[in-house]
Amino acid sequence: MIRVEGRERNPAARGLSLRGLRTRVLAYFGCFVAASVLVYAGCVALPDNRYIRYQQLNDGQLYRSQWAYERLHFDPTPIDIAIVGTSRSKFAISAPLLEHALDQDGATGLHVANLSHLEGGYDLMYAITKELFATKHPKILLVNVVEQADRFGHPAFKDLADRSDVYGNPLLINRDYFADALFLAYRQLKLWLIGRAPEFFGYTAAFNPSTYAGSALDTTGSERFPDGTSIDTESAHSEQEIETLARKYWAGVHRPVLPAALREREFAVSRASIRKIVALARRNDCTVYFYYVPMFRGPEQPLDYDFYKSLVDADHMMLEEATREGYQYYWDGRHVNRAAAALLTRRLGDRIARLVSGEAQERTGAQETK
Amino acid sequence: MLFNSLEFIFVFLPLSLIVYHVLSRPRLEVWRQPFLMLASLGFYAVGSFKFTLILAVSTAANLGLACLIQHFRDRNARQTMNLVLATGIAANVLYLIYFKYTNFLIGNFDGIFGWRIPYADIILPLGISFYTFQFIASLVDVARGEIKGLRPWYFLSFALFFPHLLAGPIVHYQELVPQMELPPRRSRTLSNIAIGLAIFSIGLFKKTVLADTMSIYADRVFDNAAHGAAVGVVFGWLAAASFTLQLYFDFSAYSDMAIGIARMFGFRLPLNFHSPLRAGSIADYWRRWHMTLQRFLVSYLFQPLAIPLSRWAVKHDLGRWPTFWVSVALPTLVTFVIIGAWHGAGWTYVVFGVMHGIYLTVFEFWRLATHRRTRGARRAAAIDQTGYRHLWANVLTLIAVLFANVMFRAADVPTALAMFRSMLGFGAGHLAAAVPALGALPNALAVLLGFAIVLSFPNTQQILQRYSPVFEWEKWRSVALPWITWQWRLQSLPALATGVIFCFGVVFVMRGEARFIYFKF
Repeated sequence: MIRVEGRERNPAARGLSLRGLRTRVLAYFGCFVAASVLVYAGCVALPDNRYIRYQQLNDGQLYRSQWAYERLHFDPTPIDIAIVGTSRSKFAISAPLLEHALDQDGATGLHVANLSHLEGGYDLMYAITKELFATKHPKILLVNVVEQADRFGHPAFKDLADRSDVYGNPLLINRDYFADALFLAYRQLKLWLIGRAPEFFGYTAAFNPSTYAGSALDTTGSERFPDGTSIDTESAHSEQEIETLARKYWAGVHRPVLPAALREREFAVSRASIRKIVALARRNDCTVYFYYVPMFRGPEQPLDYDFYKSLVDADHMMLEEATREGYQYYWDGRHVNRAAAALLTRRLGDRIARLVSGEAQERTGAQETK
Repeated sequence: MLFNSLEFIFVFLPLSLIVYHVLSRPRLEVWRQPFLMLASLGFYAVGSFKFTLILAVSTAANLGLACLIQHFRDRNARQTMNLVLATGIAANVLYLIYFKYTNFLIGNFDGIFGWRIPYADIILPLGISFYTFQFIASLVDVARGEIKGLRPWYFLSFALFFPHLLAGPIVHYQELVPQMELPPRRSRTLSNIAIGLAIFSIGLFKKTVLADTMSIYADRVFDNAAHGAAVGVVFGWLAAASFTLQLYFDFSAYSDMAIGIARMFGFRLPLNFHSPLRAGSIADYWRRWHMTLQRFLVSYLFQPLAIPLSRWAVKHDLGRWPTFWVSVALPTLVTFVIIGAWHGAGWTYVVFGVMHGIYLTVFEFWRLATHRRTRGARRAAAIDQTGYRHLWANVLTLIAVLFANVMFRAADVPTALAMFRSMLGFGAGHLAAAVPALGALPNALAVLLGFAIVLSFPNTQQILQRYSPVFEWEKWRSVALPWITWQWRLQSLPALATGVIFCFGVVFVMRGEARFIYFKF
């Protein structure tokens, strides 16, 4: 039997009716919830330094987010062509090579920045695009798409996105919505605390040009990450190895499970992000191209091709196919190696140069007509 | 499922509480225990589905054994009962050895004899060390007659009750089942939930804010040391202190959360931690650290060893010191080697146990040696009870614990020895050398803050003491009183404070859900 120990007494013995006790307990819960909500709101409202926010991922594979921020905010070099995307475009497009290819094709003086981040999730692409248009005015935005959009967002979205974007992400069929919203409180508290004394915590509030990686960073090479992991984009692999890796990747791709009519809802996070990217680019007079590099023996076009096509003109869908059938172009089942990146970048350069010269001709023609 | 996960805090716990309390209504009462049992199985299955069968087999087998023991006991068939009891204990121990120590034994046999036995493909089922000990205790208690009228359905509910299933406290049938048998008093439901939520919130805060913060630095230094990096004196001590605080906050947080959750269901679990880092002696430390494990080992191992050995020593008139070695030192060392090995299949844990066994033996030796000269019983008791006020006794105990914890945390014995050398200034890289950029200064401040909390503030049950937070709280009410006192009440100000720490606890969950250290045991 539960004994009433110590000073805990029967409520009636304290002259408290059951109703009184219930009122008291409910008042207690009210205060408890109010305090929790206030603390949460207070934490979320704490100001932060965006530059420090972009340094949060410095100890892992996404450490280049600091460079992306520095390129956008501290480097006065303009950006004419920006690439946002996942690891696919990170390893497929070399910014300095693309500038060189464009130069050779007559489109001189264009500056390219590849702002792609590792791992999938289009919501981070939107956060980066927003940051891009806050300071730069690119003419062309290449948005990297993959075979099938992820059902959920990028793991680093919650780290880098603005508060309004975290809350503004679709709520329905978004596994991460509440976790991301809760994370905001932790993030803002941490960033606020770090902001009091950045150097004490190993961060920096002031841009240091000597540690800046440069305007046209080549993202296609082998890389050793701060967490000790590494990627080798230059070694050769057998067909069997590449095929096994490709199959493994393909097995993990988020295939649609809901009926086609609910596809919009099922991939709500990805689709909403893509729509926001396109809308933002249009507002800034920037032309959006969707750029697709298939995995080894992957589909010729993204499975949600029609969705992308509904947002841009048909000739704005850049479907790359040069590497699709050649295992020698890949360092794993889905990412092209450095040699293939050079090939793809040259092809992309030719294509963009044609587009740029075509647009120039159109403009000249229009002026002559006038 | 982890207590410190959003799924548990915001989905599983509220839902199971609502259903349980709805089923407590007289018309639905018959479903209350089955629901609790199924919810517990569901809780276990979410985290480790493949081990649910192992748990179910172990539980069913032990229930069968307990019923058999009861049967033979009721018929006064002592010999058969003892045979079944011995079989049951042996089966449980072998079960634990198989899952926990097979590969450790294979590795050692391979190393010693040069055999080439391949490692077995065995994964340690979650919570096996805890529930196996609990089953052994139940079998012995039935045989001793401490459990009367075993009720199978309640046995299952007690054994599987999810708050204590994964990492304790190790509960006795007779502590929990009498509480389960009573239908919850509806007048107390809301206040029990409020009290439980307060205990849970403190535990959550300790885990996510304090323990996980301490782990950042400790992990870095110990990982570097495991890779052969020189650690240096300052970093070595800092890492040892960080890990000691991490271990305490982590495990006591789990116990707090388990106690809090149980209270929300209307049950009181036994106390598992009572400010052990304030202890003024190593004996006092072990009385207040993982108390339910100590209680188990004292009842079922130390005493069954020490009592016959004491009788044997007296019978053979061995004299004062030989009697001490036979009846105190030997059982103490054996008990602590088993405590060490229970923690994990590795030599670091065995050496950890040996170190504490030696500490305890030295302490008992000192106590016995000074007994005559200083009317020591009174003095020793004073040191035990209020020892943390004697700074030297507290510091000495803490240093001993720190060294043992280095062994506990290190990847292997050579790494621990290298850490010892560094801490004592004999290692490569004196003072703060060698391990670069580890954020030592913020961590030093965190360690200072951690010790300030541990040494000055009331512990969870002292904060909640007006509401008898744990089973048999009266025994501990006046032990290890804090310098700062504050008591929680069912009022608005404590509600605000609880809301604040709950919110911080949840917010810090988002730093990354770290598993509790004791889950791997």
